[in-house]
Amino acid sequence: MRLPALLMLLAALPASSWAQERSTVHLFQYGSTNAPASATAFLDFRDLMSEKLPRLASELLADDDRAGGLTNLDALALQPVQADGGDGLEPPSARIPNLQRRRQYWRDTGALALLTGRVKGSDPASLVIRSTFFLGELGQPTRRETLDVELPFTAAVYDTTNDSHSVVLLYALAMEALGMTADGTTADCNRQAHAYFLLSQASLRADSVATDDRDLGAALATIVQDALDAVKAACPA
Amino acid sequence: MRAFAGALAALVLAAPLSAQTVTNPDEITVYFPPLEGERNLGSNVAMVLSLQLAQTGRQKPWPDNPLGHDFNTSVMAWSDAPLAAPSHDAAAAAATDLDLLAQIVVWGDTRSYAGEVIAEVNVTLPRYAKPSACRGDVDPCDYRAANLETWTIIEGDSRLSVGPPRRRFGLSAIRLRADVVDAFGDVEGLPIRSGLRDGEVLGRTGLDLRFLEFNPQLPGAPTKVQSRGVTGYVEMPRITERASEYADMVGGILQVFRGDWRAARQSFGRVVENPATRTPLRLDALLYRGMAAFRDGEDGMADFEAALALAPYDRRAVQFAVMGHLARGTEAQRARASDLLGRQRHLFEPDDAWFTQARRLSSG
Repeated sequence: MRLPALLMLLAALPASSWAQERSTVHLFQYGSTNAPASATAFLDFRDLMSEKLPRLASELLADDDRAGGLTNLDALALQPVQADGGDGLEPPSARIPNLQRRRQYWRDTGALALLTGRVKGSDPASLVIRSTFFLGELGQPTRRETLDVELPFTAAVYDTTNDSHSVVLLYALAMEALGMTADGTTADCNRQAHAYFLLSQASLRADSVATDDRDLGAALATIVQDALDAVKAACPA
Repeated sequence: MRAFAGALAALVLAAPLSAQTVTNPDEITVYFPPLEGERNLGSNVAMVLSLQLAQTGRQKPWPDNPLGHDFNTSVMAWSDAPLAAPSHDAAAAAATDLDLLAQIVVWGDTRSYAGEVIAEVNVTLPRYAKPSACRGDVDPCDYRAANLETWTIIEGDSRLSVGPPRRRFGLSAIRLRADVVDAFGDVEGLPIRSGLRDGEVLGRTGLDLRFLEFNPQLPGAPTKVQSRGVTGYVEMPRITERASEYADMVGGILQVFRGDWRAARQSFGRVVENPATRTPLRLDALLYRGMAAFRDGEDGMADFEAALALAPYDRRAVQFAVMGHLARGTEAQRARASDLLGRQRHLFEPDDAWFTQARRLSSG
């Protein structure tokens, strides 16, 4: 029996100190990437995400009516976290070795999400990429501070790799757009249309993911539905 | 031509749906910059994409054309210069160059992923101002008279419009066949042969390529072309093992811009049915197909309802469904539009101008 593709970590969260809108995804070095095939896999994946995030934002912003209210989308990008004094990326163990440090880093830097992970497997033909998103307080409305996405590293799931990671980030952007307070009890309901717009986009992509990976697609769809329910609860008609 | 669109919409509101003659006064231009990546590979893949698209069009239905439709011509434009950046903004900027003024840009890149070569294809539909509002680079206009991609309903002095569901999107990644990657990387241009199926290679396609004759019914769909001083046939290479939705989706959009509603409906139908189609694109295809049905004098409400079921929180799906109800033109349908707007108010900004106008039309 396969493990669920998406794991949830429930946690109580402290208050945020970040005042600006969050828009960058901080990328750390993935683990288990010493072997050449694994290193290549991570580089291919990193290139994919680097190009796709700004393009996703550009596509969403093309809807004129929403451009004014989604200012943080314009800056949506992958931000590699460079290792101190080195050429490569920082491993998470250096700056965010535990949950407390992750929360602190997320609050202090204003990142939308922290992206860590690892490349699993030793056979170059059957590598798996496992990504872990840390969403900080943006995960509070659905009680998901951390989300994992796991997919084989193959060209056959190229679109699904992109879509699954996009779903998580669209969820985070929606929660950011709504501006729910840390305790999850209030929200800026004047911006609920933005949140619905982003969650609708996430829902469509979760449906696409299900064509390649039914379990992952279903797990992502559940997250999106929980977020929609949270928006409805915060902003009743 | 704007007057024509208005006249059709007014008729739709007042009488049973019926087809009208389409006479499109405008040429539609599709621009194919080379795909980013290895130079020859990107150029040759762009050439194949343009060939696939060119085969989807028709100027006048033949032999059955009792209404005398004339959808005008479409122009495929190529360049050997890549976009300034691999982005929708750069594609829109290139399209709005006064020497080009393209309505559709097909662009992308080729890249290695997991040991294969992927062609990523994106589509940008630049936004043009009306001729009366042209402000050069800030708000360029393409001087078209018809703008058939915009669906407008007019009632009295009020009008309500929707444009294309999305102006920027990506298609499913195309996994290029290894032999295509090898063959396309070595040479510039596709081979032009002397015969429909075989024959000697007379030359290769260049940027001055002209399409003379299409034969989509023949194996390899050979196209008679003229380029670099030679005339012959280019066979359509099979670049991927999996059926891509590219030609049907972009072909359908091109047909919408040209007013060929019947062909557009067929194209979008194939997109909807294609298992390779990603869900956001399937939603677009449903909305396009429903709109094309209404503008073809038939009822496309079933597609709008399918779109709402697929994407119940999507504002565009609500907009097209409201347009459909209003296009049906009865008091009962007007009430349904009003009810839908009331239930989905939360999907719109508090000061949304379209919503306000739709509310006015549906309650009047």
